[in-house]
Amino acid sequence: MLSTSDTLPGRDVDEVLGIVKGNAIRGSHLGADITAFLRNLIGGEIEEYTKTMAEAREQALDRMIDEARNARADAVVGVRYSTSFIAPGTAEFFVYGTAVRLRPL
Amino acid sequence: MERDDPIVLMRYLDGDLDEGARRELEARIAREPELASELERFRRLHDALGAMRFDEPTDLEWREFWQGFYNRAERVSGWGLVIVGAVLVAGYALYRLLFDPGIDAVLKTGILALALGFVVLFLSILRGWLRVRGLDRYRRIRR
Repeated sequence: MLSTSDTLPGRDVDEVLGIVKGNAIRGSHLGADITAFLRNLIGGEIEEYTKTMAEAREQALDRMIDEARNARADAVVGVRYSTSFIAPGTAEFFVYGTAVRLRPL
Repeated sequence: MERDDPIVLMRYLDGDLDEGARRELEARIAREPELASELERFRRLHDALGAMRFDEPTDLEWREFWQGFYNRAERVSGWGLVIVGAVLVAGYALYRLLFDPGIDAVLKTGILALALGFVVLFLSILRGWLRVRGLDRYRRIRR
């Protein structure tokens, strides 16, 4: 279970396992960059970069979930996303949160 | 009706009027049937605009759009011209580099080694990418 809030309604945290995180940097190929450049001349959504960002976001999220599963966590709370600029045409996503074990219902 | 009434009515419907202005307008609406009728027209317009939803085209509609003859013809011819132009420019640059007697032999060797090095590195990266390409489950994500 993932949550951006620090608590889960109706559930108590039994144990805090620590920070879990995942990051991914993905790039688009030269053809996509050229098409994106041309789209940028006109305006509107640049689908090539939307796709690159979405790929990086999902990969980073999956890496964080894998780390949480390896720690035998029941949930990750306080999930946050962060991006940074590495190079033109690339997208970096960093996802982190606190892995917790929940008290059984 | 006064000249600014349409703007005041719109602000009233948007909840942007302060308490005093709102009470003043409501008192006028009670006294002036024309203003009340105008407010009702605005309210219908406001509700209709609020109920409007702009649906994004579905993936299938986008695919059909891009697979149309004109789009495909434009893409193929555009990319074809770009590739032909790039090959001609690169070929001419290589020809000038190899056969121009004005360029020093050391510089020629250096540029060729540099270019060849980049090609070898690129092919190495390409080989690695082709190997893991089928395993990359994120490639199909669109947004």
